[in-house]
Amino acid sequence: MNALVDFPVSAAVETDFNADIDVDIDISSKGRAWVLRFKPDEDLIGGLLEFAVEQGATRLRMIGAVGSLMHATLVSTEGRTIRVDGPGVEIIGLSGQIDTRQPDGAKAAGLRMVVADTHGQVHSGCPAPGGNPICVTIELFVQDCG
Amino acid sequence: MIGLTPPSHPGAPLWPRRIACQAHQLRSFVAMIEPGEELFAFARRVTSRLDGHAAMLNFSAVPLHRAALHVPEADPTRQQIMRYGPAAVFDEACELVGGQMSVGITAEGPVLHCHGYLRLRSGTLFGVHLAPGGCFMAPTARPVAVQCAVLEGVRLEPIFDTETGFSLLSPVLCTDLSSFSLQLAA
Repeated sequence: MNALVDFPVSAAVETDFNADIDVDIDISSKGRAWVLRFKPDEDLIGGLLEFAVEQGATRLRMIGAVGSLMHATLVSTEGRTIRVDGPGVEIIGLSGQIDTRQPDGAKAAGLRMVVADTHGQVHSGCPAPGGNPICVTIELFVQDCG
Repeated sequence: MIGLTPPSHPGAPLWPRRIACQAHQLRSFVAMIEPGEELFAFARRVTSRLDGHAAMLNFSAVPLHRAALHVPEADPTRQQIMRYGPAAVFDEACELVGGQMSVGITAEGPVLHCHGYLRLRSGTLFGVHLAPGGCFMAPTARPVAVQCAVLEGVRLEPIFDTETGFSLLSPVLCTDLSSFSLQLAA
């Protein structure tokens, strides 16, 4: 079982480590981790959100990703949409988390992606749902964090 | 544009479109890349004992004195949607600002897939697919910490994919957990 364990300990036994401790242990979903692979034309963010819902994970943290996109659609901090044309836009960094409890349009607001276009030029921003289809493949390492 | 066919994959789509394998456990450790060491040799050194596990290495601020990288280009033969041409070499002081490397395991040893972005001497950022055997840490720099995340119980295996024409790393569950131990390289 891969889980973080949260258990409340009674204050009355803090100093007596040999006493029987009556604890409630909740096995939470936190800490589960997966290796994912998405195939061509699967949307990166749409796929992550669907996967999170399937697994009952409200938040998924990105451990890392290596892959390529047909094209990338990023949103800058000023709200400007950046389109990076491919095919073969390389994902060179993916960090942050998605949160399925957020309103539509904001579920991926916590993600940051860095990509390189076919000339090696680097672009970064928040990946827009529906705008980042996989080109060849992506290897994704993700962790459930809530 | 009229008359131009958009690039596409050579084979028919394969199902399922998403593959997911849950790890038995996630572990994280730090390894030091040494001055003069080649990036992929470092990764093989660190991960050679990750018997049956998938790993992701995160590089940050690694000073290099030589870097070799591939830039994707359209495949004129259309056997694949894109291909990598000959490696472009930067024989100058530069820095791997950020990079991520996925590690798969074969009988012949680790299979490494690394993307990153370099800060060249001019200050320009250049992002690419790093070429194995061509990226060397600066010999005069101090060792740099590299974070390694290991997902135990899952393998990344290179499998030929008829849809794309590439051999691709794909997650596979480890069914034999009897010898489940993580031995870290010294």
